[in-house]
Amino acid sequence: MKTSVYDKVAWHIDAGENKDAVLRHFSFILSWCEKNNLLSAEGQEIVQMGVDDSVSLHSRMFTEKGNTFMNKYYDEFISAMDGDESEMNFALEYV
Amino acid sequence: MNPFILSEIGTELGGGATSPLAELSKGEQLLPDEVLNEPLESSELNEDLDAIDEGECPLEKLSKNVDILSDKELNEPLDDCQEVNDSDIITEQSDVIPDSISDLDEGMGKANKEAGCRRECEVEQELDKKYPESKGYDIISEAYLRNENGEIVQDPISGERRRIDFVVVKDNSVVDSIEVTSETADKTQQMAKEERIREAGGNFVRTYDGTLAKLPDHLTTHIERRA
Repeated sequence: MKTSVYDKVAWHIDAGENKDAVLRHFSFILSWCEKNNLLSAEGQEIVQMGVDDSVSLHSRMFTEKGNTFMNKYYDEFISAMDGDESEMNFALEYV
Repeated sequence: MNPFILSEIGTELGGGATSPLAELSKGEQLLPDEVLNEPLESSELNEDLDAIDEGECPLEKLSKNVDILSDKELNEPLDDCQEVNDSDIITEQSDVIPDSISDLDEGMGKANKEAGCRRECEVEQELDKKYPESKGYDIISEAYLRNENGEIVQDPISGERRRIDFVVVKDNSVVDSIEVTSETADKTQQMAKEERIREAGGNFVRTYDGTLAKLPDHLTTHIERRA
């Protein structure tokens, strides 16, 4: 079983990005996915423990619909923050 | 409009049949020759026409009284402006610390992702060859260090967790543990964190079938650095 990786905190921090900003982005993405029932049990486990620099977004963390969304739209929201919620809601309607 | 012509137009329209333009085309002389041929006096246009007759362009004539800047003066920078070069711009940008990832170019996020994906794909392909499934190996990606109950273990100091990029499992035991990173990223803190988590009981990973595989005490994660 292959796991698809959509993104990792480490990829951005290792590239020199601001850690707090990167964590804010991942927190936003995961909380939005949780709110929209896109997380699997493994994804919910990660969210419940909180987002830290170990977090990656991968296919085992998402439901089928969640994986469809991530495959199709994640790259468009790779720098998304709270203000982008409405655009993500709009994109989700097409999943 | 010449009132003389207008009166003619009025006459013809009063007659009702002939267009004034048609009437003009008949060659009827509306103004006497001496009037038409008389030059307009005190006219600038007339002077310009005279200049053209003499082979001088009116624009050249006008430019005679204008001071023209020399090439040297034209190429000098204006006193009020400072020359800006690329290094100045880069310095100013690097001084700005973004308070959100949105302040960064979206392309930067994608570039980071592409670089990370490329490095991990390379390593995964190598691991597939080194540890073939046909020989009982199972390569697990994105594996958190867990305790014997399957719970993710947190670092007692930072409270953070440790996720390993790839672990290779055979017969419910981890035989290799790999972290992939860039050539320059400092992983000292990550390795120290892993050590503390291992000491706190985080010596297991969950396999794809949900069982736990143990990391032997002697096994430590090694770093694969790629460009």
